Amino acid sequence: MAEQKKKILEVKNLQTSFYTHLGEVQAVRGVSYDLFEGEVLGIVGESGSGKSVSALSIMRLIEEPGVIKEGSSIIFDGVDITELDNKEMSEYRGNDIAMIFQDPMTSLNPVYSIKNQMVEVIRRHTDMNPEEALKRAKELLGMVGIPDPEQQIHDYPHQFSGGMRQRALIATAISCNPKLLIADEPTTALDVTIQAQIIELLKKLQEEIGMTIILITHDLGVIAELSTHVIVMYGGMMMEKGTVEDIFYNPQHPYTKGLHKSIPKVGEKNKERLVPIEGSPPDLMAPPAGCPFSPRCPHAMKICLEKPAPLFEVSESQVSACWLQDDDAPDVAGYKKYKGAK
Amino acid sequence: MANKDFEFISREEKLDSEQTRRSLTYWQDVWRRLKKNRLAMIGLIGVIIIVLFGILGPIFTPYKYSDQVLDFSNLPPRFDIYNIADDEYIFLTKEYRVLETTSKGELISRIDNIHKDQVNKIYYFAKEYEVTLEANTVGNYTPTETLGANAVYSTKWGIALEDSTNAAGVIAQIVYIHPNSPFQGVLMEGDSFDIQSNQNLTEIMLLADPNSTSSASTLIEGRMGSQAVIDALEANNGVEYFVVGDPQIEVNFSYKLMDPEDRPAGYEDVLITVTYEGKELTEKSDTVSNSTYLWGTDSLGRDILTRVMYGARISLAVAFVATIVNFIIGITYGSISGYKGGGVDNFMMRVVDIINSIPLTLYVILLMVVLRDVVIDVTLFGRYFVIFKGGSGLGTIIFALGSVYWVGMARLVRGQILGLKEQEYVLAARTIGVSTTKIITRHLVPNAMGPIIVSMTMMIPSAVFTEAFLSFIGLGVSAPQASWGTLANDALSGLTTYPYQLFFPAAAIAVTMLAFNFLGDGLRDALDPRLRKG
Amino acid sequence: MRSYYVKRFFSAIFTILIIATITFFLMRMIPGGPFTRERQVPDEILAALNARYNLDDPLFIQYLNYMKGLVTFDLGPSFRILGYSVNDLIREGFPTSAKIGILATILIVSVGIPVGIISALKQNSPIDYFVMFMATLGVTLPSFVIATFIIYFFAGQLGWIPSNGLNSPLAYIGPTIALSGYSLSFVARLTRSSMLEVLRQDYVRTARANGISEFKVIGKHALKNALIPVITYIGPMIAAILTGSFVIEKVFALPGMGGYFVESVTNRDYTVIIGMTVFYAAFYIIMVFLVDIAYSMIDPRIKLSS
Repeated sequence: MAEQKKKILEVKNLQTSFYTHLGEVQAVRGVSYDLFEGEVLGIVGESGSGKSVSALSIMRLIEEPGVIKEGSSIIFDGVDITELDNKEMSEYRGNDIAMIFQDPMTSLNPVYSIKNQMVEVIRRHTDMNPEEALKRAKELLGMVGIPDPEQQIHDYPHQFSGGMRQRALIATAISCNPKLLIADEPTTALDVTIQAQIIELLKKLQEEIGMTIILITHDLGVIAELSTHVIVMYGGMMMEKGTVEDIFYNPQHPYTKGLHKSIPKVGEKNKERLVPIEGSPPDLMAPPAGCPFSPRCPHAMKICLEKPAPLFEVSESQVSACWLQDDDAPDVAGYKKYKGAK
Repeated sequence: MANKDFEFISREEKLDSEQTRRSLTYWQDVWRRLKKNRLAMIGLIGVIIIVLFGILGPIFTPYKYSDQVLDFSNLPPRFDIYNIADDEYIFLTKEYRVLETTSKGELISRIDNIHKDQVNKIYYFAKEYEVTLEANTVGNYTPTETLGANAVYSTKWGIALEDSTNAAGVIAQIVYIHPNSPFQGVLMEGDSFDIQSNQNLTEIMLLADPNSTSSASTLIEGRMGSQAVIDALEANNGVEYFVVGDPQIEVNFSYKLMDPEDRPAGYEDVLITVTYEGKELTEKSDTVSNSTYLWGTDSLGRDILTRVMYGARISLAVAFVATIVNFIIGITYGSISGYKGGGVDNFMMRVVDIINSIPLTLYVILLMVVLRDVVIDVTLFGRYFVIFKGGSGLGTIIFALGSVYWVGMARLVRGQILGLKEQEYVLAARTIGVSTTKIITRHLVPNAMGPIIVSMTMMIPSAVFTEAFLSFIGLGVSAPQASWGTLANDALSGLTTYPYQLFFPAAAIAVTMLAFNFLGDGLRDALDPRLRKG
Repeated sequence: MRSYYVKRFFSAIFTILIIATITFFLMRMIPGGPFTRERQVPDEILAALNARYNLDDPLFIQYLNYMKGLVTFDLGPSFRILGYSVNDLIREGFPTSAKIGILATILIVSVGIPVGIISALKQNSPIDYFVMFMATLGVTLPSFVIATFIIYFFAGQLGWIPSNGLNSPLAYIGPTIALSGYSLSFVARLTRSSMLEVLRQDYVRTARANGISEFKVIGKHALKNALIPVITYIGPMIAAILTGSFVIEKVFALPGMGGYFVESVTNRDYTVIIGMTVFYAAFYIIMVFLVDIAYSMIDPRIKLSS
C-alpha cells in the first residue's frame, strides 16, 4: 500500500550540531525516516530531544553556529536539499516546503500589516499581480477561519489574537500549495480552546487538500488527533518509529512507555497513578556514549551505557531502538524480541 | 561474554553514568560567565588599576599636585640632549631655556640666560662653559585676538598693547607671548614696562615692526649681556645696549629665520644646532625620557603624573559618590513608585518625566552656577551655623550630579519592581504579613539588583564624563586642585606646542571610560545571558 | 490619535513653562544679584542698575514680567553685554550652532546606521571588529579630546583643515566630526546590537521560512524593526549634540550659541543663562516631540499606547 504513494521526503542519517564556544552541542544524532504523500508524521519528544532542530534542518534554517554535518542527506522530491545553496533553497521555502512555528505572537513582523506580509509571500512564489495576490490572500484568510478577511487583512499583527495570528501564519504557509507543511509545536503557545481550533483547522486542511505534514509536538494528544505515523525522539536520537496505532497500542521502547504512563487519560476506568520518568534529559554537550535514555531507563543494562541500540524491526511498520529487543537480552514483561537489527 | 552486557544495572550505576553539571548559585554563575568574558576581565583589571593609581599613586611620587618649579615648566616626557662636556648634558626647551641634565634625563638646573641679541639672533648664557646654539626657526603665528587701535604686535613673537603715554615715555603691556618666542620666561603675559626709561629689570626696546600697518606698532626686543659683549655689539650695530646683572662668561646662541615655504620636508619649526668650544654638535647625543618628571610638567612646572594621580582621586571620588547618591535616591524613589503604584506612581513618574524632558547636562550646569554662590546659614540662639556652603569644591559637583542623574535609576528600579511585585513569592510574603519596607528591601530590591548593578557600572563613566565636561567649560574644582577635565582644559592653550599635557589626562579619561564600559557590558551579559549580544 | 498629538503638544508647552519657572527661581536664589562683582559697586549705582532692570520689584512681579516676556518670545536684556538682548545673542549664535548641529545629525544618520548594519551582518569578521573598536573609542573619548585631536593632527600637523572659525567649507569638517563623534559611535553600536537582536527574532525566521530573499529579509523585515530603538535614541542624541556644542564651539572658536552660554555661565549673566536654558529646553522638547511623531509612524503598535 505504501509503495503506491509517492515518497516526498527521505531523511538519511541526519546529524546537526551547534558549535558554541563551550563545545559542540549534538542536537540531532543520526535520524532517518521516509515520508510519503498524504501522511502526517508526528515527531514527539521532550524539550531538547532534537525534534525542532531536525525540522529546521529540513528547512535549512539552522543558524550559526549550527551545522548540518557531512554524511546527512535530506532528499525532498528527488533532490538532496542539503546540497543546495541558500538562494536555491529559498525557492523551495514557502513554496514546496512551508513551516509554521511555535509562537504566533512573535512570528509575524509587528511593523507590517497582515496584507503586506501575505502578499509578499504569494508574489514571491507566483506570477500574480498585487490585486490577484491580495484576492488570494483574502481567500486564504477566509479558508483558515478569519471572520472578516476583507477588513482584517489590513490589520497589523498586534491587532490579532494569538489564535488569529496562528491562522494567518497557516494561511501564509499554505498560500503556495506546499507539498510539505512542517508545523513546529503549532499549539503550544495557545490557550487550550484555541489549541483545539487550530488542530481542527490542520485536520480540515489535511483532509481537504491531502497535505503532507510533519507535526512536531511534545503533546501525545495532538499526535493522536492528527498523525498517521509517529517518531519518538530522545537526546537527539530516534527511539521508536511506527504508525500511530503501533506507538499508542504497542509501544516497544521504555521511553515511549514512560511517556504514556506520565500522561493522564481522561475517562479511563482503572485509576492508574501517573508515573513520572525519573531524572532529566541528557546534556547534549556530552551525551552518554550508549543509549541516551539509559540513565533514566528502568530496564537499563550494561550494554545500554556502552553502545546505542540499533533499530530493531518490531513489525513491518514499526522499529524500536532498545537493547531489550536483542536475542541475548533478558525477558521483560511487555517487551518482545525481534530479530534483524537494521 | 555478550550475555554479561545484558545484565541489569543498579540505580546508582545509572546515576553515575549520568553526566550532570555542578549546580551553581545565581551569583556564582554570574561570576563564572564574567570570568569567561575576556574584555570584561580586562575592564575589571583596568578599573582596579585606575582606582589603585588614584589612591596609592600619590604616596609614591615626591611631588605635590601644587608644587611649582617655574624653571622647569612645560617640559616634555622625552627630550633631546646634547653632550657638551664629560657627564655634562644640556637640553634646550622650546622656549629657548637651557637646562643642564644627566645622561639619564634627570634635570639638574636651569642655566641662566643673561643676554639676548635679537638683531644678530645671539643668546648668552651664564655658565662655566660656552655653548652656542643655532636655530633655524619659522615663527608663524596668526593672532586671533581682536586688537585695538593702539595695539602693537609682531606676528613672530607676541603682542604688546600700548597702554598709556606719560612724561617718561610709552608704557606698554604684553598681552600675548608666542610659545616659540625667545622672550618666553623672561617676559610674562601681563608684564608692563616703560619703553624709554629702561627702568625694568630687563632692558627692553621697541623697534619698528616692518610687517605692521599701524604707525604706532613696534617690535618688542630685549637685550642683556656683559659689558664686553655689549661693547662689541655697539661697535657693530651702532645701537646702544645696557648691562644687567653680573654675568660671568658669555655664551651665545644664534638664530636664523626661515621662510615656511623654504622649509625642507620633515623639519620641525625650529632646527637646533649646538656648538661647544667651537666644535659643532649638529647631532643630538640622545633622546632620553624625563626621569625627573616622568610625564613632563605643565605651564607652571608642576608634575603632570602627580596631577593626573590627584585628578584620578577627584574624578573618581566625584563619580563614585555621585553614583552612590544616585543609587540611594533612585532606589528609594523607584521602588516606592513601583510598589505603591496607582496615583502615587503616576505623580512620581510625571515628576521624573518633567525632569527627563530637558538635557540633564543643562540642569547640572544650572545647579553648578547656583550652588557655587549659595550659602545657606542660620543664626540660632545667637550662634551662627552654615548649613550649606557652595563654592567650586567637590561637594558642589557631587551634589549637582547626584541630584539630577537619579531619574534614570528611578525609572529602571520602578520598571523592575513593577514586574517583580506580581511574583508569587511577593504575594506569599504579603499574605504572611511582611511589612512593605521589608518586602521592598528583602524581596524586591535584591531581585532587581542585576540590572541595577549594570546601570551603576555604566553611571560611573558617565559621571566621569560629565565632570570632565563641567571642568572643561570652567565649572569644575578650583585651582590648584584639578580633575582630569581641568587638566585637559589647562592643556588646551598650549596644545600645538605641548600636546603631551593634554595626552595624559585625556588618556586617563579614555582608559577609565573603556574599563568601566567593558566591565559594564560584561556584567550585563553575565547577569542576563538572554541579552547577550551575538 | 490626533488627540494624542494635541495632548503631547500641550504637555510640552506645560513642561517649558515649568522649566522657565524653576530656572527663574533658581537664579534668584543666588545671593547678591547680577551686579555683585569683585569690586564693590557704590550703592547708588547698584540701586540705579536694579531700577533700570526692574530688579527692585517684588519677586513675584518680576516673575510675572518674565513669564509675560517669555510668552511674547522676549527673553530680556543681557546684564553683562551692554546693548544686547538675549534674543539678539540667540539670533546671532543659533545659526552657527544649527549649521554644525544639522551637519552632525546628517553624518550620524548617514554613516552610523549603515555601518552598524554592515557590522551586524558581518558579525565577528575583521570589519565588525574594526567598527566596534572605533565605535567603542568614540563613546569613551570626551568630545573635547576628539576636537583637540582633530585640531592638533589635521589642522596642526597635516594642515588639511583650518583650526578655527567657519570661513571655508573645509572648516566645517572638524567641528562636525567632533560634535558627532559620540553619537555616531553610539548609533553604530545601537544599530548593530538592535540588528543582531532583530535577526534572531521569530518573524525573521518566518520570513526566511516563507522563502523571502535574504536581501528583503534584511532590507525590509529586519531593518524597520531594528531602527525603532535607533529612532528612540535620536531624542537624547539631540541633547548630546546641544550640550556637545558648548565644548566644540569653545575649542574651535566658533561664534555659536554654546559659546555665549558658557560665557554667560562664567560671567554669571543671569538673564542670558535663564533665557538660553529655556531656549535649549524648548528646542529639545520640540525635537523630541517630532521624534515621537516619527516613531509612531514607523511602529504601528505605538498608537495604542496614547
